[in-house]
Amino acid sequence: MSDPVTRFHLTYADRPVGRLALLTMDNGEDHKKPNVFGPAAFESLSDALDELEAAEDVAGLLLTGKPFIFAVGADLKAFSQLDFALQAGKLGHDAFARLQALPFPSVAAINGACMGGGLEIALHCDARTLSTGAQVLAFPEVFLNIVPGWGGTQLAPRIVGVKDAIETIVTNPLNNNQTMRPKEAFERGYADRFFDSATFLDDSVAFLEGLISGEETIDRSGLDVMEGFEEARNNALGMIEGKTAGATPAPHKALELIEFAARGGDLAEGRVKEQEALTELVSGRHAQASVYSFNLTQQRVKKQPGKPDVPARRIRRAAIVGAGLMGAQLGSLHLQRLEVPLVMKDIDEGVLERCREHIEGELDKRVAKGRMKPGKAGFLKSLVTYTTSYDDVAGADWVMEAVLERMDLKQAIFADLEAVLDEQAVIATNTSSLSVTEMATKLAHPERVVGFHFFNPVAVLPLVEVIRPEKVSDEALSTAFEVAKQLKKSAVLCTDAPAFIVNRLLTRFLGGSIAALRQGNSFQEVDDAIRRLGLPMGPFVLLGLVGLQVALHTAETLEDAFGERFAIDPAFRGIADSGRPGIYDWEAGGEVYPDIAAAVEVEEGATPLSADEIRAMAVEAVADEARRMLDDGVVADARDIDTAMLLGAGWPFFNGGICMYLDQTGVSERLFGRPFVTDKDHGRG
Amino acid sequence: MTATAYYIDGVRVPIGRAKDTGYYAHTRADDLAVRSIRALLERNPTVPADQIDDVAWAATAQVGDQGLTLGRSLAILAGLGKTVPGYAIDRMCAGAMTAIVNAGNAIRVGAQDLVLAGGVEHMGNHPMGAEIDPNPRFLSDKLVDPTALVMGNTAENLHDDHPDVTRDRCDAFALLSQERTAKAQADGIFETHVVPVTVRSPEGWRVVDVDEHPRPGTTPESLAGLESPFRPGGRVTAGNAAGLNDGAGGVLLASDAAVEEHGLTPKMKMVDYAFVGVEPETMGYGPVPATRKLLERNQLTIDDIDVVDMNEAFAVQCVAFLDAFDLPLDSEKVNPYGGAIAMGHPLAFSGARLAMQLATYLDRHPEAQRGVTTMCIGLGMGAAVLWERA
Repeated sequence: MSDPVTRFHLTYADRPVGRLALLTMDNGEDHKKPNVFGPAAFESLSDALDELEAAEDVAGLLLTGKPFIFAVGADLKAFSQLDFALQAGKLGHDAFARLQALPFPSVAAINGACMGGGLEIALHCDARTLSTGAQVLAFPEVFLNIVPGWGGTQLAPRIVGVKDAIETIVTNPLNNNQTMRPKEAFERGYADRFFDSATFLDDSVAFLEGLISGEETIDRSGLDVMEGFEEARNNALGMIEGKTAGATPAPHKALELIEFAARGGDLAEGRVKEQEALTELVSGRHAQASVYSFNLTQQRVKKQPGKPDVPARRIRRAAIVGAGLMGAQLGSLHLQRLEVPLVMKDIDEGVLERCREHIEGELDKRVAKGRMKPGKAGFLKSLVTYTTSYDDVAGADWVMEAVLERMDLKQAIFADLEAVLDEQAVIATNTSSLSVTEMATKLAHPERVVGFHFFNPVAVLPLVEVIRPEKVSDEALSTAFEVAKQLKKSAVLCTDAPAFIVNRLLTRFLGGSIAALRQGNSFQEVDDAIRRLGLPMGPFVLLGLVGLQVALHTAETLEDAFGERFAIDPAFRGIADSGRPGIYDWEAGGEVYPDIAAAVEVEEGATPLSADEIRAMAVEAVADEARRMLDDGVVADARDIDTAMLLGAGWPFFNGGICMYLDQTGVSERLFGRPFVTDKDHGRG
Repeated sequence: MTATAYYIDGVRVPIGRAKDTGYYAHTRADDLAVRSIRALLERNPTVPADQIDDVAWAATAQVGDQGLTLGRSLAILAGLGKTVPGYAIDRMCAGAMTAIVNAGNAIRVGAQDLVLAGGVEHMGNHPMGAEIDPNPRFLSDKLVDPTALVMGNTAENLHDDHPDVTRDRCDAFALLSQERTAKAQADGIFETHVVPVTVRSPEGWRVVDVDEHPRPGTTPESLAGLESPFRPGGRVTAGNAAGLNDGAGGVLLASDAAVEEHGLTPKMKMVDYAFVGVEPETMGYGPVPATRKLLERNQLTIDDIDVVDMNEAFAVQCVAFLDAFDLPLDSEKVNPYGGAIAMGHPLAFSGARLAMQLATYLDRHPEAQRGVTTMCIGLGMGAAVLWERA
């Protein structure tokens, strides 16, 4: 099946003001397959421009898209072919410059989703109208670790000013790829008129006619291009450091290009600079890994690889056993996403009361923000039963267990649950390190038990590890995947191996980092060195976030299971037993707690490692563990590991999780003589 | 009556041909209606959209893109505000005409002040008869003649009843319709109430701004050469009948109070109306008894009427009307701007077009005081509305 080609259709309308040309971008598919620009699209545009340049009687041009879609930029699939990616900059610049040079007024009527190259082609028109129904506008290039390469960095500052250009081209993409709603885009200056979607194109045609007749004018004289530059630049630099640790070149490059244009740089020269930047970035590992990560997290994981092809059990009633901090978060999530009767079971009335406060408080917050009507919140509150009795759990189709990490306790609870549940009701455990298979052994129906491991904070992190114990039924597993989908979480399947995927790799990673301490490096040195990989935080900052005891517990599980390579450093035990909330005392300016610093014993005669050596040690430890997980069949595919690290650990897109990084930087080849990611279909499969 | 119902303004989209290469082959019916409503309100900016009291909208096929209680759907889709109610109306070809008199009545009894009334029919999306299931008793109990449900056959029946209404006279009337429409088009008559629409096509968006149906090059010969599709040797042809079309449009009616409050300029007022039933197998005769009843009720004769805008479902029905009122075939007072034979007839919409053209006529002819809009209706009905200069 070949992908649809976005074509530029040209029609004419003879109107009282003269002949209008209407240029429609349409790939002949519905809105689920948006218009994108690949090589064939540029050929089609070039044909249309030939015709327009030769026409002698055209008075004005309207450029628009198909229903719900203007254009969403470059064809990522075409971009993954390097030869197109390398030519693309010039192709786009040449075509868009010709559009800009047409000798009659042109209006881009942004009727729908408009991103990247779509926004760039619009900026090449003399004016823009924007529909209230255009759901999303954005420059997502920096998110993919390239730069807008078809004039975006050069035209945006001229049209909307440098501050808005920086915020939309650099800051937004780094800020979880934030996009603009149409009202915001209009207010920032990306459009000259804002029309209701009901008659958007009719109004846009009238506006174009007004421009031709002189009844309408565009006045951008009030724009001070450099206004707010320093602040926007500093904010962007802070965001770059915070989000990428400077480990990817694209954001800085985009900032430079914008500044060049804003300071009055020549447009033709700016186009060349942009093109050079794009050429360099697009062939670099960061951009390639970003596309891979994008495809993994936006496409592949949504197909739920590993989900058995049997119907899931329909959830009409859910229960959470254990209403503590984690249970309350899970309850809130289940209630808001599943919207079914929910039973919160605990042994402690006080815990249940705090749980109710949490669940109801979360609903009240949504009401306060205007995201939920008070009546709906009231109804959802009424769906929850807070109870100390298992009798109330009867009738639940899906029960999540979230109690203390003790095997005997969990087994006892499962037995109590089985007494009240029907035979097919699914029991899911949120354990992070215990054997799910062992938990189920004493049940009459062990096939109903599945692992369902969330990441903290539950409301924020999008990953769930779905764990497949030995005896699990296809129906239970399918149900777990379906619940994950309804909870709007991304599910990655793994076998019932100790600590599953993310925590196992992070613990090994931490082990590599602690080893550096013994060599005489400080906590900060290790954190700084590791962070330069582009991670959101260093391992010791993360340790504080996870909780020292929790991390130690996971480490013990892994040590018990795998022995030497997970041997717990005595320093770690000392650190964990310190009773401190973390490694660093944030109230004292982020100094390491003295007792924790004292817990580290530097080996005799050791010399501190360089930053490169620290990184290499940590990275190679992870590489070794990832290799073992694949060889042992813990996960089916290196792409599952990468998906999990991207979504569960927040490891950066520009590294492609971890396996892609190891392949790209030659670590895989050096250590194992083969790459991790063997599937040529980088994430689309 | 406590108030007067004034016609303020009317807007329609160009009428398209109901075929897969026609203007609106890729456009929804409700979107066409939304376009006309928004343009109508844009032209009358002093009228706050959220103070419209009701939206009465007609369609014959009330399913699919013409379903979901059109008036209310349109109020929401056109952004009038959620406080604006609406309803759907069906009286086949006289849908919009019925919507207009209902709206007028709501104003006349003082219940409402501002009402939008109109109609839509996308005959491309809803081919005639495709979505109905006539009760078998119509035929088994001989309630209607078997020919009554096919409009072309009813036109042939009307010829049978009126042998003086010959094929030649009908073709002559059809030619007149084409000529008068072409002249009105050239004179800019339709610019007073037709707005351009941007429509999708596989070749890209297009702007359509003139009616698609007229055939300006029509000659007596070309008309004479057409055969009747309805019976061998028949007299009703594609040339002397209205077409199958897509169209939408509506009018704004207002009370005295609303006229004053919003500074509106009324063009005419709705005086009275009449609906009648006739034999279903000769439904085309409906306008004659309907107009007679209307004139009698108001103690008027046809001489008191300065202009008649009559729907041209079939030329035979128009010529029979002219004969009944002793008017010549080329009477200047009947359809001075041409009619549906040239322009097309998107069923439930057409009544709104008649009112718009009548208003334009009165506006351009200060000496004219009074007009009638009239049409025949499937299953044997006739309708006529009496209007006076405001």
